[in-house]
Amino acid sequence: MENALGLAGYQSTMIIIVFVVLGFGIAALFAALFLPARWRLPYSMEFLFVGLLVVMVWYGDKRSTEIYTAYQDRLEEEGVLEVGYDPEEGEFDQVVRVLAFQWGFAFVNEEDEISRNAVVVQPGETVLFSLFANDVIHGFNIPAAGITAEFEPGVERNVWIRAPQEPGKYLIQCLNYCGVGHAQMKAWLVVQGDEGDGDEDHEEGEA
Amino acid sequence: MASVHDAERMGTKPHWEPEDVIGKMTLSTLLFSHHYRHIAIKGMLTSVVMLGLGGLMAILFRTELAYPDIQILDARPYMSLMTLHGMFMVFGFIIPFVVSIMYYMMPKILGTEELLWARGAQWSYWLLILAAVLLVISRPDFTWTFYPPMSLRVGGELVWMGYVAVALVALSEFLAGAVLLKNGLAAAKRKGFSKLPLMGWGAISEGILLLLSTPILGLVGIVMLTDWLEVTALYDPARGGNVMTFMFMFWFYGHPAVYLPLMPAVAILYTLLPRFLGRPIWSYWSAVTAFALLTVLGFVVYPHHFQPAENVSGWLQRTTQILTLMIFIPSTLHVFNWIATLWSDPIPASARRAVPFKFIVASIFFLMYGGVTAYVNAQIATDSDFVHNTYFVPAHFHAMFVGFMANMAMAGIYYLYPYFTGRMYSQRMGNIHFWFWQIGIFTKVTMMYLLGFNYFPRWVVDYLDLPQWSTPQLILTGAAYLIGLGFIVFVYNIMRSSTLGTTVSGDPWAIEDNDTSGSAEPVPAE
Amino acid sequence: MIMRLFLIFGLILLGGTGYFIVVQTPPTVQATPMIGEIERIREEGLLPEGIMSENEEIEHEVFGVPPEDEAMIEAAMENMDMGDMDMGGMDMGADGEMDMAADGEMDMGADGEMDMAADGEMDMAADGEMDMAADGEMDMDMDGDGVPDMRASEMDMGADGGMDMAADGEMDMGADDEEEAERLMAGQMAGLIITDDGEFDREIALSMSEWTFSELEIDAKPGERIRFTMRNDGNIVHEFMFMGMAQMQGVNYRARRADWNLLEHEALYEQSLLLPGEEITFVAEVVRPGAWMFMCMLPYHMQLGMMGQLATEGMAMDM
Repeated sequence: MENALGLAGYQSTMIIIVFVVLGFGIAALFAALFLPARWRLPYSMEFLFVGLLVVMVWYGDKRSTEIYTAYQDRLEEEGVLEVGYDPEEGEFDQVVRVLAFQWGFAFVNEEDEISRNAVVVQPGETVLFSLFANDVIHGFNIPAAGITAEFEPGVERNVWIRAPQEPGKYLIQCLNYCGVGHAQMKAWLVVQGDEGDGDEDHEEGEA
Repeated sequence: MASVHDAERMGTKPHWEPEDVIGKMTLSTLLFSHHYRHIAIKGMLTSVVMLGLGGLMAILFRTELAYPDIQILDARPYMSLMTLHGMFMVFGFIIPFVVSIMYYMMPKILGTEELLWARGAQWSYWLLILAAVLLVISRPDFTWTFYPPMSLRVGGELVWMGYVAVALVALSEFLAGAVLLKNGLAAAKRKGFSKLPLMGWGAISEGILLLLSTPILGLVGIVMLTDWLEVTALYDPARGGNVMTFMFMFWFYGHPAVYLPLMPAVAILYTLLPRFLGRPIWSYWSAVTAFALLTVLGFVVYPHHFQPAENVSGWLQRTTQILTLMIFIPSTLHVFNWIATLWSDPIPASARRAVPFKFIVASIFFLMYGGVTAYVNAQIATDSDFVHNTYFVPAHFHAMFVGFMANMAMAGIYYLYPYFTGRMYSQRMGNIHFWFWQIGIFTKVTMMYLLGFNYFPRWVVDYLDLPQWSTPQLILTGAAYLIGLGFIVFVYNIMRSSTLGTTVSGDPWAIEDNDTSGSAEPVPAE
Repeated sequence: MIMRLFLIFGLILLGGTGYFIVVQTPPTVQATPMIGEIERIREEGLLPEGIMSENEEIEHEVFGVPPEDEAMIEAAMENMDMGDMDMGGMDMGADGEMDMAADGEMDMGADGEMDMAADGEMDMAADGEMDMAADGEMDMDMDGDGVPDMRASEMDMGADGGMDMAADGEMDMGADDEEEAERLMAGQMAGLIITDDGEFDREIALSMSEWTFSELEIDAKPGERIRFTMRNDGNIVHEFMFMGMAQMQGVNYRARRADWNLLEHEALYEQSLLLPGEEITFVAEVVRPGAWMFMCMLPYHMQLGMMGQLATEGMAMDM
């Protein structure tokens, strides 16, 4: 999600925090098991520990909320979430309607041109995807942009991304089980531009 | 204090005596007896069979996933295997197993040789068997979380059996919850709440979780059936229904569902750790607080399962994020308690030798390994990025279900083995099983974390031929085979030792302290 | 005893379930919504009514063709003569049989020549050059009425130098037309030429729905031109394509692979998306006896039943 905002490293930061904490936990377990020295913890240690956990909770909540509200605010600013939203008036560089069906994606661009399993964007532009599901719950995930959404028939789900800077083809995949063709429900996000690395397929990407 | 050696707490009669209970069982006692030992053994052995079945399903679809491209399984049979794997493991193995162990332990805690309302336990067991039969016959391919409208449109003519099976599972679990709560409360009344052994607290928490969450699962199963029959249209948007109704209803059960096996496993750990170490748990009230907190919080965090299905907004999302972040606190309290207990005094050599103790230690390890990523999963920003519906989620819950709960199940079986068969299993095979499993589970979970971080999707029979996807998948398949091998060693061990193992008398888990530094005296309580 | 009972019971259960699911695979079933969402979306004005034009920016290079396809198609073509498929004698008319020999050359007549018309020879030799006629024109006069059905002088097959149809120089029509020309060429080779419009002898109205076509077997006569109207009467998006036997067999190896939607495959005719309610028309000309498949090749649509064949008499394949 944070790739959409052009920030970097949030996921990695959280993973690192988590594995550092894990490291301490495992070290404590192994120390308890294998170190000859014994330690009778006073009860206050646990209160301290809980305090530390509360700090972690607060920090995680804060960071995540910052990021998702920034993302969300963009949608709200544009009035996307209101009824009667007019894509023409918005500030997104491109608006694409996405029809997810069993089993593929149809992309309709602003000129009402339809394409199957591929959507073309310019490097670095902001793209709003209006997601519609035709039949069952589908998912929409662009690894290179770090966004995942799930949407059911009957709703219009709006997600936006900032397209990757480097030209090439990026993977879009359905991320909710939708029937026997789920594994094959993939599409290309084509970022146009001078392809110095013309045929390179970027089939996954993360921050 | 909750010391297992406190004779007053455990009842005045000597009851920890090895006895060949299984050997003396006949077919009619197996099927009809209401005695708690028979019901418990029946439940535990059946759950092990379900573990084998679920494991076989996994081995089969893991073989397909070892290499990209379709080799042996097409999408439909693959999804049947995956659905049955999930359902048999959750509904058939892990929940009934831990519940059955509690059926065995509760009368000990109560101090009587009786499980109150054993009839409920009996019914619970047989309803589950019926549900299992219906599931296999219907071969559902709609994943164990069967989201509509997809789950209303696949599967074939017999898929209604799957919906009925869901309702039966709900009923079976409800009855089990009633039994546990009744016994837990009876024990609390008899001993006083402040002196109730932690297993009693576990039973009460578990009972509350089951009683409050399972009715809605039953309702979900029934509505799925009526929707499928086109009598109602609650979940199908094409006929005027709403998918969100399903999400709220199902996950209201679905989240407590993951704590259903956790609570008893935690309670068993609290019971066995003092047993092996010869000293009480470091903090009784920390444990009680953690039980209570988890029971309460377990009911309010369920929207996190479908968070990416809604535009991120509003107080519901924020509250869910905060509460979900908070829910990893009770589990860390448990871990803190256990490590503190381990660290406070020397660990007897008899404990270090004991296979169940090894499994307990491994469980604690995996509870940490899986639990820390709860912090990442809870945050909406990461959830909407690489966590939701990628392999990151199965990594987390396999670490918990297999790494913690299945390991504790094995600890329970190995611990109770002498008490059920009068014999000791082969230590060597027990150790082989242990190491195969821990290496396998650790590899498996790590590979799944890696795949999830690389956006590998869930529920796919085939995947693109990318090195960061195909290499971990191949290793994962290897790890799965290792776990399967460990399971085979385990089955062989318990089969063989039931007739050929060394007979045991007295206390098979007696504490032998080979080192002379310090004694196994209980630490004074608060 | 009890332990052994459980062991035996367990093994039977495991074996039985494994067999029941993997060996005796359950049939794939996928029902569709009673009402698709597209209807509703159109009503809300979010999608235009009527068929939408295809996005030109999506060049076909976005979807590559894996190199193995060629080998697979060749192997399929070899197999076609060898007994996998019973083609019978392919009667080309007075001039003899079409023998698709194992050496990969297409020998169009007993004397090694494909006689397309009285005044020319088409020698499709293994060196890749297609020398259409002595006078530089490929005069494809199928029905012998003197009217060329397709004047090759208008086709410039591309920059690879191998096929220079017109003696009067090159007319470079651009990539799309190059592809179009390639497609028509493939159609010629396969015996079925499909164009968007043209004269026709009869009309057939077809509809597609889940998971079938309104007619799965269509009979045709060699030389006939049929105008098809294909309408999506279902609730799900479909595609529509015509493929030759060899082409279809050639891509079968990857039809269930995860990258199916990310790659392309050659077809005699393709309409990549047909939304519910949309309709297309095309004219198919049956050049010579044969059988061709039409289908929707979206993942699993074909396996669920969306495949039919158009065949001349006696040529229909058992499906």
